[in-house]
Amino acid sequence: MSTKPEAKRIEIPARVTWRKLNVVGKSLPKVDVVNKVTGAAVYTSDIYLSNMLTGHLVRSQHTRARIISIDKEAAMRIPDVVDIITCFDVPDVHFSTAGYPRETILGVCPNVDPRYMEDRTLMEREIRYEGEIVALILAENVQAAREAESLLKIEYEVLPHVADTGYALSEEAPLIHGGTGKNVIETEMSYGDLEEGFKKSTHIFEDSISVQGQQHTCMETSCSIAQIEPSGKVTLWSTTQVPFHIRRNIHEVLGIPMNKIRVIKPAIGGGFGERQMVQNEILCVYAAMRTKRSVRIELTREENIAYTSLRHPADITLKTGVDDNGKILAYQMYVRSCAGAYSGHSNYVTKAMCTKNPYKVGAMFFHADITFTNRPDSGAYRGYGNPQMCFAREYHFDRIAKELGIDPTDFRKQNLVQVGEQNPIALKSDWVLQSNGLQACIDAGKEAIKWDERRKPQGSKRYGKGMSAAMHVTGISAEPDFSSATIKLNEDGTVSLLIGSPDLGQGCDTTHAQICAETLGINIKDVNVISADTDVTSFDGGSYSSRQTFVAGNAIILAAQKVKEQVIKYAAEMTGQQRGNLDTYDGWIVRKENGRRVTSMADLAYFAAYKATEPIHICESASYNALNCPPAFAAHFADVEVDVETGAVKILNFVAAHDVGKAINPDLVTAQVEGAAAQGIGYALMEEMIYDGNAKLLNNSFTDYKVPRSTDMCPIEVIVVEAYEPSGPYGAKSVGEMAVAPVAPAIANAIYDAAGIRIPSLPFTKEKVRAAIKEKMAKEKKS
Amino acid sequence: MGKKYTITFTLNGAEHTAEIEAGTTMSTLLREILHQTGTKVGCDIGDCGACTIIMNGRAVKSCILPAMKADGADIVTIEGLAGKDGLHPLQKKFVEYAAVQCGYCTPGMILAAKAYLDENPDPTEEEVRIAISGNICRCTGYVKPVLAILSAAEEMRGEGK
Repeated sequence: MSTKPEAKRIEIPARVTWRKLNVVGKSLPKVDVVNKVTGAAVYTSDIYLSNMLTGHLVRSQHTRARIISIDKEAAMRIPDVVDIITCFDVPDVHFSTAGYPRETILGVCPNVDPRYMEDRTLMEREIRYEGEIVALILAENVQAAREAESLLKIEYEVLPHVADTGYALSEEAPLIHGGTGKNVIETEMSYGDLEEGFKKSTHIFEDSISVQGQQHTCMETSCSIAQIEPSGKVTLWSTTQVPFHIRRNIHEVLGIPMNKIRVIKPAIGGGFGERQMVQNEILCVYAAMRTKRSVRIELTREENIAYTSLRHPADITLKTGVDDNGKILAYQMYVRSCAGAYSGHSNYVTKAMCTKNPYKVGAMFFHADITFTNRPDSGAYRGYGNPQMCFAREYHFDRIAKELGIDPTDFRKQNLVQVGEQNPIALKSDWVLQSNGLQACIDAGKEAIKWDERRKPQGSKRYGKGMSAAMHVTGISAEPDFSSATIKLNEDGTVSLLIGSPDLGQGCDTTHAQICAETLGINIKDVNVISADTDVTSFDGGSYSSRQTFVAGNAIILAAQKVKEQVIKYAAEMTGQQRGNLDTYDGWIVRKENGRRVTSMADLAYFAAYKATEPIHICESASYNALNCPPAFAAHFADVEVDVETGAVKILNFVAAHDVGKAINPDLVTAQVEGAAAQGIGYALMEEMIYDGNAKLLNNSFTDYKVPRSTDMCPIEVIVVEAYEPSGPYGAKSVGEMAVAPVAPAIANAIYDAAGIRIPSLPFTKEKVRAAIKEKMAKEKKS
Repeated sequence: MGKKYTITFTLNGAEHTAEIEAGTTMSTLLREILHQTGTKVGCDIGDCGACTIIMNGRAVKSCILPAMKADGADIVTIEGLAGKDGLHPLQKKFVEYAAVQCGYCTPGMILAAKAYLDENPDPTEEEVRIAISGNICRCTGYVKPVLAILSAAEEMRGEGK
């Protein structure tokens, strides 16, 4: 009989001793899992309302064009067509698809031209990418909507377009946003004396790499459903990661007061950053307001792949100066990222490429050209700039280490940022790094992959191993990040935890329930989590930046401590014992000194509500403002086989060692690492958005856009390192996004180790690997 | 509206009659007419497997299955998998192994696995991977689902706890 495998866990001694944990640290089943395995979980796309109209999006077939006129008369005559909304109808209010408030944008990017912050309306009269929305047809059924589309007379003035970043930056390129003067936002960051650093260096290395666009391909396509009551109250169900940001955007664009807008995120079929922005929610609500009917806008898979945001394609050049021992003295980064047509998340994603760096580099300079093109927007995608730069940096550092004759693991270790040094995430803060398990990750991974053992070539097969290291944020890093939680104690001793953070499947409803139960001293079965409903739950920015466990988790601790204070106060009245002698544990009020049970939480709750001298409904809220952003760390190791005849790369073994601070739920930690690593493997070996000369996506289905299937995956060994983080809930940092970033470079470096080739662009397709091998063989022949 | 046809089929053990048009797919019939939304649609062209159901013992993709084909058939969907005694071993193991994240692919993957295990009760890991290769999962990297299916197979063979 096989048993469930447990991940290897390495605990780095905690500085604070907690009493024995009862709920936190256990691999408990997810709170919503039974609904999901029985088909009972309701997703947005499962909601069918009786009077619901289908919202059919009409998209431009031109890449860049001005809309002269739209004649909807013939289309409106189709029976069952109720309304058609065009760019000439929508409110003339600009907003940022990133969804952030203006203050956050200014905090992250103080020098950005406001035209790049709020750079679009619901439908623009100038089309900036193929597939941009031109009209919304509202009909009783999709057949009528399609027929109406064919009768819609749209007159375009077709304009010359910009298909790629190279052309976008040239003198002759047309301006994508008129009046801005150029198609680029330039940004720079630096510290130290770069020139001096390079002068002192005995070796200087330079590498240029490029990375492709990648799609999230959430399994549930983007869906919004809006319902309007005669009173004007609007309810919106959406596949969103940011319900509160969506509510604010609806308020700002449509002028509805916030208390009349209820945004609910039901079960959701994936997020990964795709839904960390405005999708079609505002348009859906606007359509419901116009028609006074419920409206559903659901994307097809083809629309979802082609026209939702993607991971930024980028060209990156790195230059590094080191001394003879491999100590980094100067580090320079040039990035050209493809923003697409609208800025959205591009400013922040591109800037984030600079700071997610686990090394001390002496002096640093970063320049980015965030470049507009006539393509669908690039945006937030798991890792948020990290996978691009991590590939470039770890590829580059592997070459430096190998050329200096230093073991790549030693090269990393000697340049790591250490506890007590400045937290590299925020350059201008006085944040200090309080935990770092990266060295332990490297050591454990090295052992697990059998770093020093080599396989002999067999026929055309070559074998090699490679590694990489990475760091990621735990919450948004450049701004105060806060979350709030509300906990209600019911009269039977169970609690309701109301929390704004949306669970996207990563399981934050469960980790939050565990944190709540642990702090309050109850069992997890007694916690009911109600999340991501703007009418009911307390405020939360949303599920992004791997922030839920840390930011919302800390808010839950604060709220639970306040509930516990009340519980003990009433328990003292109930039992006649001193408050200072009482504690809670495992569903009981206990004696602090020995844990002896005094009364049950159930009896206490009943007492507080019905028998106390001052009856009370114990209900407390708290907000947590993150005053630090403790980074999580990882080291990945790949063991690969390269077939030098076919160019095929097969991953034989993959080790992912992650410092998460504390695994609140170890199964959910390993699940995050495995899933993110799979997306990293897709990024490294097969996934690529391919556009034609008109910037139209050529591979918009799962037939042509290849994501890893079960037969493409290799074994993944996850090692959980727990370097206790003092500012984290029970010591926890983050894990969700981290594991995408180090995958591609670990594979790249293993390919070099196996076959002696360095491929500076993703993905490593057979064709590319084979071409590199041929080139290497030709060179060897010559010399 | 086109001509309506009447079909009769067994759904999760109960007989159903439905009025459908010739072009209606099985996934549309299940989700929009019978309101059984446990069956998901991820691509609508038979690529992703989220819509997998079991028809006459075989896993089929309901988004490209004309509902007319279900006339007289025995259909099992995720809603019908749990029995009187509780969850099916596959469902239990998906819970125990934390094999569910967003859960959108889960019904289809569980049903693909069930149809396969009914045919081959003692599969290798490689065989399980092939059996669910028509089911895309973007969350798990397939690590935990494959382990869960292998463990469920053991339990279904009577080797489990």
